[in-house]
Order: sequence, then C-alpha cells, then structure tokens
Amino acid sequence: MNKQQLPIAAPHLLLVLYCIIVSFAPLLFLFTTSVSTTDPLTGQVISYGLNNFQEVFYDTYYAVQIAYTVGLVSAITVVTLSMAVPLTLAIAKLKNVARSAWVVMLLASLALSEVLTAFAWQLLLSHSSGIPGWLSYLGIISGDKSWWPSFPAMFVVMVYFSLPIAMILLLPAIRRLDPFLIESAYTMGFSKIAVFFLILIPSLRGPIFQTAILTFLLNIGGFVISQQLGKPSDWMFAVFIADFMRTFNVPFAVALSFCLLIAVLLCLAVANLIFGRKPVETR
Amino acid sequence: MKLARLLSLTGLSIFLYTPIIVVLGSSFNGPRQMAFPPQDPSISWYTNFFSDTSWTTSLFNSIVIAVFSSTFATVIALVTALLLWQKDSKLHQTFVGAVSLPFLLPGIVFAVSISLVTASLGLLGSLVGIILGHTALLVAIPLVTARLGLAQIEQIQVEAAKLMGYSDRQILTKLVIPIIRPYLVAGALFSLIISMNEYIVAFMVSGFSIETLPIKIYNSQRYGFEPTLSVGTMVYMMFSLVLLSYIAASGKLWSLLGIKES
Repeated sequence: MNKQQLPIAAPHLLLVLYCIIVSFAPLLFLFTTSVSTTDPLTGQVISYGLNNFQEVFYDTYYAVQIAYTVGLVSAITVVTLSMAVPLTLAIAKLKNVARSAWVVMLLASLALSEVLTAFAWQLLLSHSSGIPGWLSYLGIISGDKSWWPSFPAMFVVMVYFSLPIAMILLLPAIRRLDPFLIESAYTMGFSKIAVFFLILIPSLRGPIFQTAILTFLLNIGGFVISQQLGKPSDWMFAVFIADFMRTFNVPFAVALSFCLLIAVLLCLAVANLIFGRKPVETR
Repeated sequence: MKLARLLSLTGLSIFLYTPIIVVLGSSFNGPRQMAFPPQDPSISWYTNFFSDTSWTTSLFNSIVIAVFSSTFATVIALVTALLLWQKDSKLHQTFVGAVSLPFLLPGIVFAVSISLVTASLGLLGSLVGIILGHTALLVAIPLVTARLGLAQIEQIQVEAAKLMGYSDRQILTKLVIPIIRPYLVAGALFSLIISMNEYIVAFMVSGFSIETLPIKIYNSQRYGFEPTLSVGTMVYMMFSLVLLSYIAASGKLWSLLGIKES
C-alpha cells in the first residue's frame, strides 16, 4: 500500500469496522438470539429453533398487542400532524424575530426526553401540583383524584412529545412553498379553507408523509410515556419487551423485538404503497 | 385571521410550556411533597441535589457519556460525509445508510439489539458500552449537519484551491473543515443534548449497574416524588437551553434546519 492509498483506505476500513459493530452485528444478534433457547441458570445457548416465536404466537395476545400499538401510534401520528401543519403554517408567516424565537422554543421543548416529559406531565396532571388541584380549588370540579394513569393522559403526552419534532421537520418545507401559488389561488377566488386543503396540503404531501413516518418510528419504539402515564391495559408493546429484558428472559424479549420490527417494516411498506406514490400530474 | 393565529400560537405555547413551568415551580417547593404554586419557597432542593453523590455521580456519568459519544459520532459522521462528498458511489451511499440505521430503527429494538452486542463484547454495565450505544444512535444527526455544511462548498472554490497548488490534505484542512466547522459543532451539540436525555439505550446497556441522570430520575420515581426530581429536570433544561442558545447565536440555525432566509 503506497502513501497515496493510505488516507483513502483508512477511513474505509474504519467505517467498515464501525458498520459491522453497530449496524450489522445488532441485527444479526437480534435474529440469532430470537431463535435461541438458553439455560435459565447459566445463560448459555442450549439449542436453536422457533420455540420463542411459538410462545409469542401461542395465542393471539401478543398479536393483538402489536396491532393495538400500531393503531395507537398511527392515531398519535395523525393527531400530531393535524396540529403540526396549521401551527407550523402560522409560525412560518411570522416576522423573522418572532419566528426565530418560536424555533428556539420548539427546539428547547423537544430537548426534553421521554423520562422528563413523562415526569413533567405527571406533575401537571396530579391533584397536589397540577390542573385537577387548581380546578378543584376554583370549585370547577370536585374530588381529589389525579388525572393519571389514564388513556387520555398517555395519548395527550405522546402528542406533546411528538409535536415539536413534527413542527421542526415541517418548517423548512413550508418556508419553501411558493407564495405566488397561494396568492394566485386567492386571486382566482378560492376560500381560505379551499386553499388549505386543495393547494397547501397537496403541495406539502411529500414532507407531510416523511414527517409522519419519523413521528411513527419515534413513538413505536418508546415505552416510558406509555408506562408512566397509562394504565397497564393501555401499555404499548415496547413495555412488554422492556419488562422481559428486566426479568432476564432475553430470548423471548428479543423475539418480541423481532416481531415488532417486522410489524413496523410491514406498516412502512403499506404506508409507502398507499401514500408514498407521487400524485399523477394533470394539466 | 391574525386573531386566529394569535390564539392558536398562544394555545401552543401554553401546551408546550405549562408542564415545564410546573416542574420549575415545584423545584423551589420548601416541603418534601410536590406542590404548585410552591409552598414556603426555598433553594434547599438545589443544594440537596448538588450535595448528594448519587445525583452528582449520575449527572457526571451523563456528561462523560454525552461528551465522548457526541465526539465519536461527529468523527464517524465527518468521515462518512467526506467520503460521499468526494465520490458519490454506491459504497459510500451504503455507508450513509448503514451508519444512519440505528437512528431509524424503533428505539426499543435498537436498544435490545445493541445490548446483545455490548454483552458479547463484555461491555454490558460499563460506561464504554453506553458510549458505544449512544455513538451508534447519534451518528445520523452530525451526518445531516455535516452534509448540509459540505453542500455550502462550491466546486469553483475547490478548483481555485487546486490551481493555487493546494494538496488534497491542504484543501481539507484549509478550505473544507473551516467552512463546515459550525455545522459540525452544531451537529455535535445536538447529539450531546440527545445523549444527555437518552434513556432507553442507556437503560438496556447499563445492566442495572450504572445510572445516568434520566435513569436516576426514572428509578427515583418508584420511591415517590420529591422536589429533587424537579431539580434534576431543570438542570437538564438549562443545560439544553444554553447549548441551543449557542447554536442560535452562531447564526447557522436557519441553514441547519434547511431554511434559506430572505
């Protein structure tokens, strides 16, 4: 190897090694562990087979839980996007200073992790330090119950967690929209609602789809908000995986992770098939 | 229309910031229980936080992990971005896809799978293991900012440098790196913030023997709420705000978000 080749070969080697450790090895380990059976005492692999998957699909319980989680996260994605698009449009129309302030505010709130977000909302929804206590003090409601754990609490907090990220992702695309397109629509007599649904939404189809995919991926793999704010019957699939990891039933937890990954890939493929195609241009 | 915009943005700011204000207020509560508005306000929980070694150790662990993983992630991202910038080949595109993959996998799936890798390397329950997990997770972020920075370099600048007799190494150190430096710094800072806040990967790789601050906050909630939890949350908020303000003050915020300002 001569001196000319050295600087080029070194980064390639570094990246190949890195990709093997952090990208390919995890997927390989995921697959091999999911089809392994280990000795509960020593943790050594005894045999390979589909036992873990047979246990997962012994009845419909986990399949129903995956379907529930996919449905829940899809609903969270739809609600988040329905709020994010008009709110981002409102921010995009602001003057420079106000818009900059909003971007910093959004970035600051999205810097809160799942754990901190869940904790902050537990306080806000508690009777001692939050809304139920304030409303009770004002005589608007009676009783001394906190509003969590509950399904609405979990749902709202997951939307709260996703909203700033969705808005930050949408903002560049909305800023790039051609203002003449909207002005011409108004000149042609379109109403504001017609402009929103017939001009803005179709123009933003690509960015909305990409943001929806990222919002979906961000939420489907999380478990903290679901576990902290929801009742056990509301918990998402990732909670089961985390619990089996905690109790050292690793192969079964890995098999569940593998099933979740397959379900997510199927969802993405279906979403891409339905929404990912470019609309047929008509003249 | 302006009124509707004002109302919707006011509603948004209340929605986003009320939980944070409640946490801030409760961190100044005098008694042990959580209350808002704070009763008998005091900063005793702040002194308690910084004098309790279990809290300061977890904060120190978080900082060490965040500094190392964001640095390593930025180096890997820089190498990947430079290779693709030099030559847009299938191999280099595969590198970009492969290093971004951990960020795109569902969080729990990546956390479980990287914990298996760290276990096989004997790194489960070590700071090095969590640093590896966070590096893998975060590379995608400085990769995006580095590519945005490289997109600012025009071919004519590279040609001019070559005409002036610059070697490839000089072009890299005297032209490319100075132009993309603010983008790399911003990418590193974004990944630093995310690493400080990350819970799932840290929890899976920590093997119950290491506590980062998010793990400590999560674990402490099992023993009931006390204002120290709010202090931990506020320390994190302030940390993130300082770093974000620095990025905003660098003047590159808009181009980092992919927005061209008029």
